[in-house]
Amino acid sequence: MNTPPLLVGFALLFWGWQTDMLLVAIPAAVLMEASRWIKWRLEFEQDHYNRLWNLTFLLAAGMALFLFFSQGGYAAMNEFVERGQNGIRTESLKNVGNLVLRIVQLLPAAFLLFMTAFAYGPVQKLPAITFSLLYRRHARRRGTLAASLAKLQVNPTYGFLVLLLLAVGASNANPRWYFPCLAVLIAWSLWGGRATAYRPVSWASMVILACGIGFASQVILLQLQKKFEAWQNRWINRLGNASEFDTSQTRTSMGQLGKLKQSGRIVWRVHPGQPEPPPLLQEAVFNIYEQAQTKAPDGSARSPSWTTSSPRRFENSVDGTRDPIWVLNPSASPNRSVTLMGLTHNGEVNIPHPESTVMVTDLTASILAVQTNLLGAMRAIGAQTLAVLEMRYGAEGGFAIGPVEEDLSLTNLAPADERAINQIAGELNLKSASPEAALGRIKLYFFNHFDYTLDDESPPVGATNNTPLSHFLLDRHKGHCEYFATATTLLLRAAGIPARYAVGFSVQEKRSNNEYLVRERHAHAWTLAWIKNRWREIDNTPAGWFEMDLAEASPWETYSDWWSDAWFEFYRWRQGDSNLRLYILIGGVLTLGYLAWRQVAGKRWRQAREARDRAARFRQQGLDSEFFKIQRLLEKNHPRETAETVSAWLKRQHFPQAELSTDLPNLLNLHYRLRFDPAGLSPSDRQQLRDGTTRWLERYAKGP
Amino acid sequence: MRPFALIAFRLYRLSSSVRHWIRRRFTESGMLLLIAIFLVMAVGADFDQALGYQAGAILMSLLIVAFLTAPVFRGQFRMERVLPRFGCVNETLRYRVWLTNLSAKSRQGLELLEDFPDARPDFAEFYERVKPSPYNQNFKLSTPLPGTRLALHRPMAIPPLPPGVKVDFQGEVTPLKRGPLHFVGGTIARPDPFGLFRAFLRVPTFQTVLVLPRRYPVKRLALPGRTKYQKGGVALASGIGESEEFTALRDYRRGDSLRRIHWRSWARLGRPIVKEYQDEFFVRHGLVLDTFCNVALDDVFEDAVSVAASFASTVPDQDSLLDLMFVGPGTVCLTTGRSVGHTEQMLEVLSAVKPSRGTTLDELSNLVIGHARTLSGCILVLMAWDEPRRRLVRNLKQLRIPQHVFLMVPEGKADDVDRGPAESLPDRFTIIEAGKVGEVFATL
Repeated sequence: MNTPPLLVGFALLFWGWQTDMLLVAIPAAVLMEASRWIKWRLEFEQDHYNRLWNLTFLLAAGMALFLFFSQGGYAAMNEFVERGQNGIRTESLKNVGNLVLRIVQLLPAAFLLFMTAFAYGPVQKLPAITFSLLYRRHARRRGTLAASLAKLQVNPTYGFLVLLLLAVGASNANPRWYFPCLAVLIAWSLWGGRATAYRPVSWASMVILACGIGFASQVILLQLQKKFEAWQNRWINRLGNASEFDTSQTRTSMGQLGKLKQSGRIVWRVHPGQPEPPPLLQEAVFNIYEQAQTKAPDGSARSPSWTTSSPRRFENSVDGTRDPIWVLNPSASPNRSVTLMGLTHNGEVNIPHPESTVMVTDLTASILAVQTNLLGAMRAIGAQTLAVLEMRYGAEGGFAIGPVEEDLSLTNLAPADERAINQIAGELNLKSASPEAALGRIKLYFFNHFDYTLDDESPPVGATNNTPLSHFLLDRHKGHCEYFATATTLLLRAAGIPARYAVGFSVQEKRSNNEYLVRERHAHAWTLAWIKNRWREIDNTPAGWFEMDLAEASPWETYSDWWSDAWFEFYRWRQGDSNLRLYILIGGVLTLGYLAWRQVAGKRWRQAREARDRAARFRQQGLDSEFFKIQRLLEKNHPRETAETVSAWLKRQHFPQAELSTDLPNLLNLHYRLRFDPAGLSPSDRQQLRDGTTRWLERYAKGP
Repeated sequence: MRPFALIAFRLYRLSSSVRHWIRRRFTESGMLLLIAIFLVMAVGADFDQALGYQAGAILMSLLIVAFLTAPVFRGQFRMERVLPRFGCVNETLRYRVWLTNLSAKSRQGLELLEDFPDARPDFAEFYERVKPSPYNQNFKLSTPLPGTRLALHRPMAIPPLPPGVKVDFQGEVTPLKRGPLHFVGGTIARPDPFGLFRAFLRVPTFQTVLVLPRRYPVKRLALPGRTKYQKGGVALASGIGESEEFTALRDYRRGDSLRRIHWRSWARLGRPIVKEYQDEFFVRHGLVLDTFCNVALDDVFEDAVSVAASFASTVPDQDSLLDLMFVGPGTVCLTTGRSVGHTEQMLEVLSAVKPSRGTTLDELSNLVIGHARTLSGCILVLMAWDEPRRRLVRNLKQLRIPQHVFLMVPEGKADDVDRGPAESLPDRFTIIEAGKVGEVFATL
């Protein structure tokens, strides 16, 4: 075997121990090592090795296939392809992976026969061409590869050792002993090939150094892998919609939307069930306005914020585990629908929805539960990466509870804000107006006196109106949606109308006939007012805000959209919610069809077929020529030599009558043309050949 | 297309460099180790299920330690080779190498690797080969690209080298391409302690061997051609002596040798008459090599050169002259046989012949037809059987010059050849598939 003594035996025992195959490994190890002392040898030749290798290869492939199918590999693959749930898929993929590992563990058993035959064979090395049919075919040709292959001799024992290493590495039994045993095995196998220029001591110290580095690096690898897994989870989460509004804090600070406005990332794709989409999709609703009295740790004034009176009161509305439909308001009848699609992070996700949503259907069965709170926020629990939700809504109001005490409260306002609100409410005479009239006056007031801007300018220090809201209302008359919504809410409350502050998205960007895009930039705030026993959406932000935001969009947005679309399609495909599989199937069939067509009708095949036909025609053409009679007659006496042309042969003939010789070239010419000219002979020439031959034969028969 | 080709070219250069580096730097054990690392890491990708990653780590560390020992190799050597003048494609070339250890340290376990110049195509040639064309429709890079190796050789073991001692050993390379093979230097390699990775020390020594095309034995061909008297010229007569033949008598002209005066006729006619002799004439064959082929037929062209070389080295043994004619790089007509020129010269020329691209067959046709007057027979080695080539054969036929055409076709394409109309067919027509030259020659 030409390997260090006991190396193969030790490797086999190690393999048997790690993979529970000791019963096979011990006899094999004894047999292989015994070949060093037993002098008897098999009388093997190259051809025997070739055949034995073919058999071994078939054995290994057969064993792998048998194990794969008998141990449920096919079922697991099927499950992976067929089932929609990610959990099941992951599980089946893991099963397939484990099965493959098991197959790799058992693979050396298939090669034992060949290795034993090699150990007891007459040679120490085998030509490389033994191990591949392809190589054998190449080696029969000429060229560089054949020349190098023909000379290449290998010792398959080292290949077998690598296979054993692989098989042992595919198991995780006895992890404590794995590394030391491996180090010994590798050091032992290197001993044979070590460079003679070095002393054994320096060699050994370098092996120890390498093993030390190896041990340290495998520990580092393990840690890196854990880090990588954590990073991967984070990264996947980032792809989804991390919650824009912190509902766990149940609080949104003024200016939070302004930050979102800078991003053009697509967060949801909206497919309305009717021509018009719902204009606003609310994600969270707040009803308590707080003017922070304390300062932030960095010393800056805290922004005022909205919070909710029903914190952490999300509840499962209906158990959705059996049927993924959640009815949120059984008394209302919806007449419109909208489908939202988006990538979410695993776990909880806020679902933007029309205010009057009464029913949610999970179209991909990808979430476990839908929870709502009393004010009208909704979130999904256990959501998978891609969520596709259909919402039905109508004109009768959604699932939020009616007005509560806080919806009319103006108590927590800062003095400056209170002054400003009271001043404007007084100017507009809101207290005495009917709700509709109050709404109209506020709207007109903002329309006439206010502009939209994204520049969030702080009030000057020391100014009287030193809160952002009062500065907005009394001095600046410019701001973004949060100011308009907050001011409207507070003014409505001053008019005696219960009002809440809602944040979510505005649906305005139409991409195609049936698709609207919702980007982070489209984040919006508005007011919900209780009028005629239902909540109505009041949006007093100047209408041009959307276009103004659009002007700030990044020029790279098209490309980031492509990226987003690609991810979206990928996840749709992964979760089985797209026709991509069908497209791939159709694409595959078309490609195969094209290839098949190329094979049948393509140029190369057509040419080959035509060449075959031509060759066949060529062989048959002119076989009826009468000239063959002359040829056969003359060949009896003067046989034609191999590879001698008929014309050359005829020139060697001697005839007693001169005209016999003179006629022949002409006849031969006609015969050749009949036989080989693709155009053939004209009828008159054909007749001429016939008559000429007959005349010639008669003359020849007559003799001199 | 061109930018894509540029990217492909860069990738091609990179991958071939990496392959070259791995081939030279890693020993067989090292390569096995690389494969083992790859496989073991693949199997051990799932750290929870398999311990393969530990094996990967330890193997990788061995490699790192092996790498780290490489820069420690220093020394000073002098190398000389005793090379033969010629080599032959695919035939092992053996030579002696003398190596002197100039350093004060004793060396053992060293290896010698020969350095050859970079034979990879430049971008222009690469683009020419990969761009879509009627000959390259399948976007295959491998088929049209030439091999990057000029010669095969294995690292040669150097005997132990005490300080200041000069040792000699046998070197072996197998040239893979015809033409001059430059040995630009030797690389003294020292494997690391594990025998995985080689440290290098380069010793520049420039030498050249001319690699001749591969030749096959050709039986004595009954070459087409009559024993027609053709004027051979003064140079030829000098080689074979004054064996002249009397042809006629004519009037004396100034300068005629007195030895040639025919005294009896002078006596009869009363004015000086001299005997006129005709020079010896020889059978003179043309060997026409068609060099006009596209990039896809480069392999076939190598066989065509082999066919021509086989004839060039065989025909002059017979009692005749041989004119080798081809175009590429310039128009070449070279005569050998009957002590004019030597076979070696013709083989040297053939070892340098390159395929002609961008020129047309007319140049060769004109050359052949121009020489046709002096030829008694013609061997044509053609790369295709299209109209211009058929016309050339027809023209030769009209000039009553017998021809034997060897048509070179790619492997497996012999049956696809359209022989065309009978009047274009040469007297003898042999189709040779690439790689089967020897087989066909055996049946001639």
